[in-house]
Amino acid sequence: MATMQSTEHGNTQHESEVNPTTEAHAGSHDGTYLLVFGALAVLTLIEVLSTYAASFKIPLLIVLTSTKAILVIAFYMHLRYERRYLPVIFAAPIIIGVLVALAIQQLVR
Amino acid sequence: MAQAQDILPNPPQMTPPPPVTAKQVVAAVATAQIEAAHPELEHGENRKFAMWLFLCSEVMFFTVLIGAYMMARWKNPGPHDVLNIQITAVNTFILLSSSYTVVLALSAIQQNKRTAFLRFLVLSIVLGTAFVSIQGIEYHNLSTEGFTLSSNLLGSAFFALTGFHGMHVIIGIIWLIRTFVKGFNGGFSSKDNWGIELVGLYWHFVDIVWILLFMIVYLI
Repeated sequence: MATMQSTEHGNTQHESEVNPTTEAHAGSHDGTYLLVFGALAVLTLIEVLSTYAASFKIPLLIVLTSTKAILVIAFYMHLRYERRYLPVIFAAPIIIGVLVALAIQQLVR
Repeated sequence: MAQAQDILPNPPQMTPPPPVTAKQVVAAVATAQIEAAHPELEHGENRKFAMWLFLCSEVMFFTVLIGAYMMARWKNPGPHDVLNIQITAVNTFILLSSSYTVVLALSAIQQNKRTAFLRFLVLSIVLGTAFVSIQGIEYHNLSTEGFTLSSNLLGSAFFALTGFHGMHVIIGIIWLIRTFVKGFNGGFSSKDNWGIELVGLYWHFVDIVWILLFMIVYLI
């Protein structure tokens, strides 16, 4: 019991010395950043290869490109870790943009 | 007479200011001390919020340009016979890599690794410059093949769209150089790194725009 108490005490002391602000938090993301970069590279390769598969090219490209954009926004721009109001605000112009694109597609068809 | 006095605002000497209490003085001094000890608290969240609002307006800016390109593209067969997809795929990879190095620079300064932070910034600047240079070579090749800003509607839309994106990349490179100079002169730390976060947000957004342009202009 006495040893447990002493280790607990030691741990808390250690933590207060390290002062865990951004330091441990930032380092833990480095692996995620590498994974995201690898995913972006692979998705780009699939995109370029998919131009040879003409029949279902466009829906596949839209899915792959959206995935890439969401990966960058969520992890590199840290929107996944932000408070809720930022994703909501940033979604507004994207929704308008998609609607504009759909309207133009109907117009030129 | 009494009515006129009612309408007129009270003269200043009629309402003496409330006396400053000792509690208020202590609170003001404490706030000033906290702000002096933690410069990173100074409007950091507000600046990030403003950056996101600016990026929202940029979404609309590029939406219009992409829309104009789509209008021109659907009426025409498309510039695929002159565009070089292989070189542009390599260029896309270069810009994606520069986004990765910018996020690593932020991560490095958050861990107080100043040398790594400066190296990643230099790498980002080099990769961004390489992207713009390859884009310039691509423009030169297109113009020698007769595809220019004034060749037809599609040419105008293509060069307006990719040109404005290239302008954004050039502005990003200038901003990154300015960030590097500040970091080289001892600016930024593990706690004060808002400047890097903001340039990062801008750079990643420009990267996302290119991800979209690569699909819309080159692959479809």
